[in-house]
Amino acid sequence: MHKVARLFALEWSTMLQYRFDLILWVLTEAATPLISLVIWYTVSQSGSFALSSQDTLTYYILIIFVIVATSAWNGFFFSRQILNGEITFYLTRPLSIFWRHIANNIVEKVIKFIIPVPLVVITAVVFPAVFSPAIYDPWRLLLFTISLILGTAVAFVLDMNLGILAFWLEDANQLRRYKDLLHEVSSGILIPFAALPAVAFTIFSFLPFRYVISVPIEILMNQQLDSLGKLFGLQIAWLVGLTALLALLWRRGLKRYAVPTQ
Amino acid sequence: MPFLHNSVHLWRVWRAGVRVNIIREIAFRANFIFGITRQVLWLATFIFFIEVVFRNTETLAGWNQAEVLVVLALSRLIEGLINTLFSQNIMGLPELVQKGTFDFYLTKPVPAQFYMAFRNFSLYNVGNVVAGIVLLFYAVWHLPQFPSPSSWGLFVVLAACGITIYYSLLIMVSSLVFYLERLEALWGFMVLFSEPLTVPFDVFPRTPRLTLTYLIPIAFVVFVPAQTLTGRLVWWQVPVALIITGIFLTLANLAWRAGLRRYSSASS
Repeated sequence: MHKVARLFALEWSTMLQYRFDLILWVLTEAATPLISLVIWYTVSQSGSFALSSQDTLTYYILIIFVIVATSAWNGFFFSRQILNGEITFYLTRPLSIFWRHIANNIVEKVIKFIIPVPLVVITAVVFPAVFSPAIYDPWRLLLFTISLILGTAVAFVLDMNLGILAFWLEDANQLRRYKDLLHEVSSGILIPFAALPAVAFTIFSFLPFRYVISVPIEILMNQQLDSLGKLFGLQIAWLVGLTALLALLWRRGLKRYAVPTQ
Repeated sequence: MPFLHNSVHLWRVWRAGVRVNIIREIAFRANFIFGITRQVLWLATFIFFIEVVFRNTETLAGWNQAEVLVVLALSRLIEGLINTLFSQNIMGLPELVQKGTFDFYLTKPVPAQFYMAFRNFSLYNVGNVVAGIVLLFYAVWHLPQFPSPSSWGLFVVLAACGITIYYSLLIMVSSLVFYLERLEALWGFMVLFSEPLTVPFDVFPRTPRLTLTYLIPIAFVVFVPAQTLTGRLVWWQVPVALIITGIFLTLANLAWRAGLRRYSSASS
């Protein structure tokens, strides 16, 4: 435990050097949902949209929050560490390389949240009527938090799974770009699940991305597109499945690994 | 005429660079194919998005489906040109400055800004240009009124203005690297500049719309050219576009020169 704490402190001090970059990254992460927001908000005012204007606004503010909370980038660095042989340093250390990535992921998010979270909380306290009344239910807030943690874990493990393919592929990062594209369209960022055509709804529900972004919000806003039990069950199933896959790939990968620097 | 002589020289330098780049990119075929496939998928995603939007509404801030597709097509076409010609190169500037390789750029017998911005020709981004043109023909065909030859002419002028404005914005932001010495976040600015291009700006509330028209004038990159083709252009927008282009190109060059004066080589 002490070692893990040291690791977090180390990550914190390195990350603070990138304050300016981090603020900009939060802005870029918010850019796509903000544009979806203005489009769907316009639609909700004129046409017959599945969500009301207030719900649309609430949904996309939450989307920005959930995107920042669940974002996963460590697979990219993991694959580079595999390709340039850097993972060998970690193999001889007492803590697994995975802890390093977990610490990096959590610390960076804490710093990123310093600006957006107060903004949302102040808005919610001063102008509670801006957001849908559903989100102020303490019970659902608790469920939302649990679901968000599950979603974050799914996203992290999924990204590490892509990164670990560097054991077998020279350029695993090409795949990541396809993941980003799928993530955007099938997670509820471009189109809320409540507004998806039936066929797309079914197809996208077979991909992991809904359980990262959309599900926590569906739960908090009480959209009832699927039962709570089913949503949590699928989140846990994805997490367990992907973690098992990662463990398997890690063992297989290390066995065939030839360090490029030697 | 020194100016004319100069541009012929620059044109030759650029053409030689393009040739080398095409040969190199063809050597890395997998990358090229991945790049093209991704662009096609991205476009399909957005066509799907627009399709779903118009299942829920007849018009989007006064634009019908074919007109919104014109905006999307132009965003692919114009962004494709931008990425093919210069944006990828400008994104590389922070690394050049950090490593000190930028020194070599200053000693070349061509203007440093020109060489930095146009040295590589990013072939696979041509995919976006082609996809944009195909979609544009489809969308224009479905417009209530086919654009007249004069609107096509105006469109070309305004698109050129838009690309120049975008170029100027990138040069301005990237010039910051001479002051900060480290600017990994540069691509973040590019994401912010290019993300809104795909939608008609009429959907934005007043304040962001005015900001994006006059302060950070990316409205002129895709939206104003799209207004021309959809018969929405008001005559005074043309001189305004020309004036803003002039202002931003000047500002960009001032920023660049001020930055160069600050540049302290990292390698010496």
